[in-house]
Amino acid sequence: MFRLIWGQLRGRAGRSVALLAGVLVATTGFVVLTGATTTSRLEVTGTVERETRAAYDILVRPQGARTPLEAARGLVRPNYLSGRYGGITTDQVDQVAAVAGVDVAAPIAMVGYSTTPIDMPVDLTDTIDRRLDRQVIRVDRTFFAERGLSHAPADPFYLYVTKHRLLHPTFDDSYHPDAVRYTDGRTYDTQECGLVPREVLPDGRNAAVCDPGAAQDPVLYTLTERQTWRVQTFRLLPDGRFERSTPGGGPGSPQVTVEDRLVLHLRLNVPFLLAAVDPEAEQRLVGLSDAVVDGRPLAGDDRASDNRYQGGLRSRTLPVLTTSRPFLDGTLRAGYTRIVPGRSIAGVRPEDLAGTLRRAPALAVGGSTQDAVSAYRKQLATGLDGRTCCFGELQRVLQPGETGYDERPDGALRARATTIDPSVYADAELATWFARPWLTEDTSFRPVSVVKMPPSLQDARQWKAVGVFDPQKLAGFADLGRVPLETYEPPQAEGADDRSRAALGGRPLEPSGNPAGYLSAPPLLLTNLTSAQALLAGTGPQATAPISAIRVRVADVDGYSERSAERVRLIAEQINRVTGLDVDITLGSSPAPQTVELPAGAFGRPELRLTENWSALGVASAITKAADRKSVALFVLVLVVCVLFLGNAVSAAVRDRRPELAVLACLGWPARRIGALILGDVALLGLVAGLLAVGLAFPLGAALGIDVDWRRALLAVPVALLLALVAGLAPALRAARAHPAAALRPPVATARWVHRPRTLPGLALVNLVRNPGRTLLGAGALAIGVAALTLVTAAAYAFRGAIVGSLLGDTVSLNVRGADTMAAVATVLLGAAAVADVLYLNIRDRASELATLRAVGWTDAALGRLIGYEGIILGLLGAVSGAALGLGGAAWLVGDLPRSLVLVAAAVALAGVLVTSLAALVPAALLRRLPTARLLAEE
Amino acid sequence: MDATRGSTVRAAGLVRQFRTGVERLTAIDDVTLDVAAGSVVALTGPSGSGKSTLLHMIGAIEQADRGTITVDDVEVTALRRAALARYRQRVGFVFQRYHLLPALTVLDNVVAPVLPRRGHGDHAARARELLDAVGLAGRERALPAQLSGGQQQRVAIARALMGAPRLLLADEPTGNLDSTTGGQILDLLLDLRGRHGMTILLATHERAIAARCDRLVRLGDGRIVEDLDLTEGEDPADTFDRAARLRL
Repeated sequence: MFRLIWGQLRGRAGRSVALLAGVLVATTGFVVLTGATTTSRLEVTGTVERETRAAYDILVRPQGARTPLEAARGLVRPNYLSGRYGGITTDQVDQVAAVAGVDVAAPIAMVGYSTTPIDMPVDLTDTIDRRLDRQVIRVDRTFFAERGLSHAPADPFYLYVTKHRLLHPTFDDSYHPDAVRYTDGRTYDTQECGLVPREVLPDGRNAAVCDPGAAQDPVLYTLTERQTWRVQTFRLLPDGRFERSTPGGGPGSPQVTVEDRLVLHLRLNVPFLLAAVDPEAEQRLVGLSDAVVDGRPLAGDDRASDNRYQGGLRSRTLPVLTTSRPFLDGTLRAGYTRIVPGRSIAGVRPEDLAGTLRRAPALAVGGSTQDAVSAYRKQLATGLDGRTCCFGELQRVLQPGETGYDERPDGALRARATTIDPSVYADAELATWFARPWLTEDTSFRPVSVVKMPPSLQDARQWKAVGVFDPQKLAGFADLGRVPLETYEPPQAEGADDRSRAALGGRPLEPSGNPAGYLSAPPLLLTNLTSAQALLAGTGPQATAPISAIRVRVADVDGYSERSAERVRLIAEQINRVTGLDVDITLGSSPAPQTVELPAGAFGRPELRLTENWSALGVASAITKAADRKSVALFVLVLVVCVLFLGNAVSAAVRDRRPELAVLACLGWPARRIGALILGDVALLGLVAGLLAVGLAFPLGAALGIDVDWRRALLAVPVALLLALVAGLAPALRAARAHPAAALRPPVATARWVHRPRTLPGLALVNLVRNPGRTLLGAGALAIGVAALTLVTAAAYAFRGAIVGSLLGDTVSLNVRGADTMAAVATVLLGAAAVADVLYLNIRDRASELATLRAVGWTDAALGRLIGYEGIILGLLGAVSGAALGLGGAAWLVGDLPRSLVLVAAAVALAGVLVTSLAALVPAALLRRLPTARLLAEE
Repeated sequence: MDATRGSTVRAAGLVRQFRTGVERLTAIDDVTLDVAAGSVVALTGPSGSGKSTLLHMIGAIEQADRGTITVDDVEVTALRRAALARYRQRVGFVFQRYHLLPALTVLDNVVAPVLPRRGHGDHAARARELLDAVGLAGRERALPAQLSGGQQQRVAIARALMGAPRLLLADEPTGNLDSTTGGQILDLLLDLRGRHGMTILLATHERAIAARCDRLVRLGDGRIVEDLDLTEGEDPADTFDRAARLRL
């Protein structure tokens, strides 16, 4: 029998090769493409109890950015973005933005904290006794934070008010500290006491009133603001006004200023977190530009401005939007004491001043208290170009990390105190203009690192506000149903027990002035990404991947629903697949109050038990590797179409062999043996095709970038065999059951439905109706491909990358990957090939009829048109029914029939008809080779 | 071509060979033949003598390897594909097995040659006339399978006449029919010749049929072995004598 099978295959070599090619293409395609089905799948679990929505639906962070608590309990700390610095490149942001279905991809790059002074002027005019010849007003500062629980005294400031004449330093282009010209025309050495006024003493001599601040300036970066102290000198003029030195205003500016009020500018130094955003994306996400209340919005093309000064000093100024609300709990209390020294303090060394004054009569003359928020607002009110507003240094940028926790038996979390490396504040190369906040000496809960920027002595760095934004005007801020995942939301923690509540005075704990403190303020300074990159240039990995997170809002998601969640999940999955970054679904997240124990601070704050407003991610998500079942289904469709295609071909081959099979039956062959003969034919073809597919799978996989291992490649053999056997089964059974006399039946039946064809299309229709099984098989194969392509295209275009809908009560989704599109297109092409094969078989079966038509005068063009019409009708039948099937499926899934979906279906149907028409050209071309005379003679 | 008379056919030095496996079979071997306009010529000879091949070549269904065929003033062997198709539209062809399109009705089969052209209404009217002429009026809606062999051949003849041919080629038109029916078909052909003045070449191996033609050309091994004018001094009605004399 093998010899008979082999003889058959050799005898019909052309047909055998065609069948072999069909099995080979389908099997190789299946084996290789299924290599692309193992993909990253975002598994989500859990249910959502509240309908909440943050400004964004997906949070994209660098790989491994999840904290252990997040991973284990799905809990996210408030303001968790503040502790993340870089890890995402701008290219990855572009990749995320390009994912279909992404409405907004807003990157945020946390740069770090820098010290910003808040000016706290105190008016001491009324504290002086105008009768006195000389007097000193001592200002004793005490810093308070954390609802007053943390407090610390600071070194005092002194105001020396004398009625005696003062000599003031003048300042011109050249500055030599050892020879500064004073208003008396003489030069004095200012190295010991600084650019301070000199008091003319009764004996005619004069002496400098030393300011210890001059000596502190070079080491300010090592000091906290508690350690700074100043002596400022004023002359009380006979008209009651106050004269003071104002050197350094530049050439031409007055060296002496006379004012009505005696004002001392105290400062509270606070850490401000600088972050970089894409202003356009931020506007779309939260309406950043609309929240600007002074100045102008930040623009994407704002650039850091560089200046170069004499002596090689360079400065770089970043344009920023500064906050109108610093979200800081800080207070500075000042107590005033009037001291009447026995003699002038001019000439007294700073370290001796306190001792000198100790014995002098002293009288408390009042005090003042200023809080950081009010003072900052007053500072803003002076206008963006004011003396103190709005700028700050970026000399030393600190990056606090995440807080560590220990879990208590009762479920509470205990924040872990940590020790800050003192070198962070001791780097002489990162010299600062302001002393560091006093709370940097408090207990720390975050590790702190410092950005390795170039030495600040030569490269000064600062920010200058171009505008002020009000966080409360940002979309989503302080909504009742808000989720504390918002980027600009200030963290707050309420007392969790009576003792803590009492300690806090019933108010919440807010961020203090410690960058390494437990609660950290949200970004208060915003610049654009270009400027941030200019600042971070040369600082290592963060310079190349500056972005900390991307907040993604998904299009067509409005509130939480199962469908929205599935849509968001799909987009998140695609983002992970494209970028490899960690993704978290924030849609459906809800507040999850968490009890936290905060160990006592170093400045008096007792241990507190707090309730903090954490977020529970709506759904736990994890990326798992799994086969994409939808892709597998698509690839199986390729095989199904191939089975239809092959089935048709094998049926035709069996029909051709009917006389021969009839002879075998007459010779006494049993039916099963005849069936086995047919199956043997196709099985041998399948086996050869499978073996060839094994060899083809590796190079094809390599060319397409799909990993095909040897086990997958070997799968080609059983797949091809099975494919061939399934395709050959029905024809084999028919052949086995056929009566020998059946061989006498004409190969093509007459039409059962008599139609009067008046045109070529009409005759084409009649021809197709004559063999309805074959026609339906071809059209069906095409319909399957077109339906799959309609669904895939609908998902890609009409539904922005993913169809999400309900099926039997479950939310299901269909998103599109490259391999899916490839499979759908392959199915359509195979469908078109099946149609072409139907036409070819029709031509073969009706060859004598076509020869007759040619003999009676039909031109080749007319015959070609006839076959072309048959192809178009088949194409229309398959494409329209397939598109309708796909359209119906998609509409059923989404429960709607949007216009875009209909357009997509129409476009795919049209494409299907076009492809089929093109495929029909191949059999139509064979018409020219019809042996007309032989066919007419044979009959 | 003159519309009132049949075509003249001139074949000169025709050669046609076929390859069968490794052998080369000469089906037509240097045949030269002139056919006068309006004559009825019977091509006779044993199976494989080249009758059908010669008809196919004249009908432009088969190409000649060598030699020329000229019909009226048109050298058929020099025509290209499209011109050949137009030529075939003006030649009527009747086959032994009729070659009707089984899916089409009798009327549509007759119209089939002109289906790709416009003006279906006119075509249908003419087809009805032709069916009437071949004695099949009233059977227009029947399918070929519902007709007898003779009726099917009449349909084939009507179809061959659809293009108003001046040359009718008939390959064993009665070969599948009984003698009575065959005789009727020949009557029909001769009657049509009488009415339309067309030239008829018919291949046959039936003595009775050949004897009623104007001329007999006998082929053997692809060559013309005998060429007789049957019209001189004979009584056309005495077919049996003629057949006997021709040793058919």
